Amino acid sequence: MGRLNPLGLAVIIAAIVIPIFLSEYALHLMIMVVIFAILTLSLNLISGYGGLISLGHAGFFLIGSYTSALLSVYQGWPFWLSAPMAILLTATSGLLLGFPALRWSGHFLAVITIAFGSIAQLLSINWVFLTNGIDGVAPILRPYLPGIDLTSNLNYYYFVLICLAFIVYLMIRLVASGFGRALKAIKDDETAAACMGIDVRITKVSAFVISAALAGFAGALYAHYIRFLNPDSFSLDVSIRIFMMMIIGGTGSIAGSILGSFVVYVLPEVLRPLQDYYYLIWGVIVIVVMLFLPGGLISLGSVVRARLAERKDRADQKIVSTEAQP
Amino acid sequence: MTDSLLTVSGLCKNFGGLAALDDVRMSIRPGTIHGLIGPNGSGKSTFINVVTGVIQPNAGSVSIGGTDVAGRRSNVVNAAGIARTFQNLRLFRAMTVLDNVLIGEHRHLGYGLGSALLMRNGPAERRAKEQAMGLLSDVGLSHRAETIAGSLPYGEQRLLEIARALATKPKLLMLDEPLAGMNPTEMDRVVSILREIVSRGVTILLVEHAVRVVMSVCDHISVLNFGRNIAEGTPREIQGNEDVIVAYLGRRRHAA
Amino acid sequence: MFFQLATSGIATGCAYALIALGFVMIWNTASVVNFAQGEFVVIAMFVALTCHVTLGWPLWMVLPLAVLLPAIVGYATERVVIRPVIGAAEMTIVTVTIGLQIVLSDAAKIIYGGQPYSFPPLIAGKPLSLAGIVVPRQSLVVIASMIVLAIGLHFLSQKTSFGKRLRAVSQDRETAKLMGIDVNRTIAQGFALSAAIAGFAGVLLAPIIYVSAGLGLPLLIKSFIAAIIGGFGSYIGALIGGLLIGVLDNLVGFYISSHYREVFTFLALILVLLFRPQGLFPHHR
Repeated sequence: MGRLNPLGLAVIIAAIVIPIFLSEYALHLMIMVVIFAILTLSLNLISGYGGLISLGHAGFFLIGSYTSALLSVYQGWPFWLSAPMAILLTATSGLLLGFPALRWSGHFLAVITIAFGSIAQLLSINWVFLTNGIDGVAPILRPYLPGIDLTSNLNYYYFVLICLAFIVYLMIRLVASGFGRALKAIKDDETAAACMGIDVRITKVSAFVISAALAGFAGALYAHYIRFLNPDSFSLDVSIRIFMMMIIGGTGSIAGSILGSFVVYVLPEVLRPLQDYYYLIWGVIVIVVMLFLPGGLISLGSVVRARLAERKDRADQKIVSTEAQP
Repeated sequence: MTDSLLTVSGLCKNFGGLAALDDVRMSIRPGTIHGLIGPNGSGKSTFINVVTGVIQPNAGSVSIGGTDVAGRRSNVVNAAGIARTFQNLRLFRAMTVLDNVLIGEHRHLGYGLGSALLMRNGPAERRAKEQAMGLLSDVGLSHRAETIAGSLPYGEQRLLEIARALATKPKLLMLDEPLAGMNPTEMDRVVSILREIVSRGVTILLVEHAVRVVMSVCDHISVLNFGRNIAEGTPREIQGNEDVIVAYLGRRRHAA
Repeated sequence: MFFQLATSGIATGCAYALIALGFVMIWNTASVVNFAQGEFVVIAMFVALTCHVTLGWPLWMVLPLAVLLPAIVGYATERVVIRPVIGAAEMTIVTVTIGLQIVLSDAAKIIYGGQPYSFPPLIAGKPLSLAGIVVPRQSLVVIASMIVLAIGLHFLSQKTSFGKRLRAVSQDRETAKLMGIDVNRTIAQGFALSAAIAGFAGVLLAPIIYVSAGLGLPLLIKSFIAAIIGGFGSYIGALIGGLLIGVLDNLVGFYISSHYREVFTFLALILVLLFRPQGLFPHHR
């Protein structure tokens, strides 16, 4: 992961240059891709490296968005204070949820996190006094940065891109550190990890808290981009979509999470002519990828290479065996 | 009995009415190789699992160097000074050999999440890597440091399990059949590694099927059968013990 | 009023219970958490809607069809998409079944649109009055059907060779294989059976709630929670968990607010997991 290959470099250059020429709508898509990439990375930390299933990340996304939005609209806090507060509050909710919930794993955890996400959304709908219910919160101001006008979508795109780059850097550090190693060990074999002195519960909860905080940060970026919040944007579908982005891109891969976010967010636009059939096709794609590329799209290159090598081996063997014939 | 490193008494574990361990006691003196033998299904692995917190006991006490660890979580038991290997090999198969040993050192790394994010973990990581490489060369695996653990040959996986357990800096190392599936040359190598480990002040509990090896390396031996202690003593005493011979021959004298 | 609400809650609960039962059956035999289980219910609902309401066929003809079609779909999906991933990482399996859920629910939406349809009562006539509680005939039909079905399933599992195979595979797939049981075939048949049960639940549920293409996932989550509350893996637990969720739903809907129905279901889940994590009727393998 650490080395940057030419393809990766090309993608980075493209991500910087191409948006200049994009239409306003395409630019909007790109901003959303970047925000979802942060969400997917946050999920990847606990799922890809820690092996924990969460189908409730829209809940953290919601708490982050609303915290920053409400503080900014009703209390007049600047983004630079409301966003850290959003991070703090989602981290706290990650702790409160993670501490009891992480005694479970697998499908139990999946359903507990579904419950969490749904409760968060239901509260945002029904707790009208705080959230203004389905009428939503508006207008949320863009962050103020001296000398740079973030009300321009192109500038905001670069702003979220820099945030993404920073988070990618954090993730690389985290994964390569002793903490990341411990997390991977737990995913591999929880019992063995515990017997080697790793505190499984603390490690899992810490990962969960960091993951929640990152999702909360994505929420703040989203709220101040979209400028109008309403509970619809935080349904179970969104949690499932984040999960799909991670899986389709490639579980346990940073580049995979970014690729997955791009593909899953942009695919509907490409398949737009299919209209109603879009979801059907999407479901089929998900199944096909899982059956034939369980490592996600990011593993496509290495799978193809392995197949080719295998074929070559077989061909070589054939040559050897024919040569061996008298 | 202040001179014993591990003291176990009255340890019981039932699996659905079946007593896998029944009032088991054991006392291991520091600086020795203590053997634990018994026929198949006599409770040897269950004993290790219960002591290391993988399985919760129904009753009994386990004390290591004066700390009571019965029923505590595995990482607490490890912190108190007990490390182990697994009979059926539980390496972190997707990780490199070096990373496996580094996991063993995790508790001693001495840097937290914060310093990892601030890039201030460099020196600590370097020290840990040096130590891990040292352990790997002790078991003869330093040339394999970057290999993926799951792809190592069987015998080397067993050696890596020992190195990984040693990395946690234990007082007591519990080895669950470390010689299983090895040829005589590999066995000799492991035996000499065990002697080396003890000479550095780590006590060993050796669970083994290869009775001949146990007799030759152990200072003291406990024998289990049907989850109960049936004999205790030096290899010479055990060799002459009638109960042990009967247990291994498969006849139960008391049943007659 | 309380008993009134509880009784009508039991009727919905019966449907949740049956879905949960099928869901647990798949988990026990194949270790697959099937997120598409709710779609089998929806398929049955639309079969019933088309045949009974649109074409005007009598119920006795519609019911077998509404049970058979989900069973066929269940069997086919097991063969095509589930079997290749059995034994794979749990995350892979979950993803495949979510993919399946998306495909099936969107197919229903393409054919029937997103709007709700109403379905006539299975049985006509005035509500009965039992000991001061007014009970719609419909509820009685649902409750009676569930009891009959539960007894039938118990008989199936204990007395027939298929039931014995199913139990052997649930207990230990490897041993079952060694004993000469065709494990793959048994799992596929288990899928078909659980889909058939879901289909039956769909017909019972259709007159109680509005039929729509988007029902599958919410129904699945409800019954998933019912199964956990009852004690995941236990059939009795699934049935009782389903009933409890149904009753709780109705009581909260009336006494508190229908907006908070889901919140209370989830709170019940969280309370059970905190204080009785093995569920009310723990499952013993």
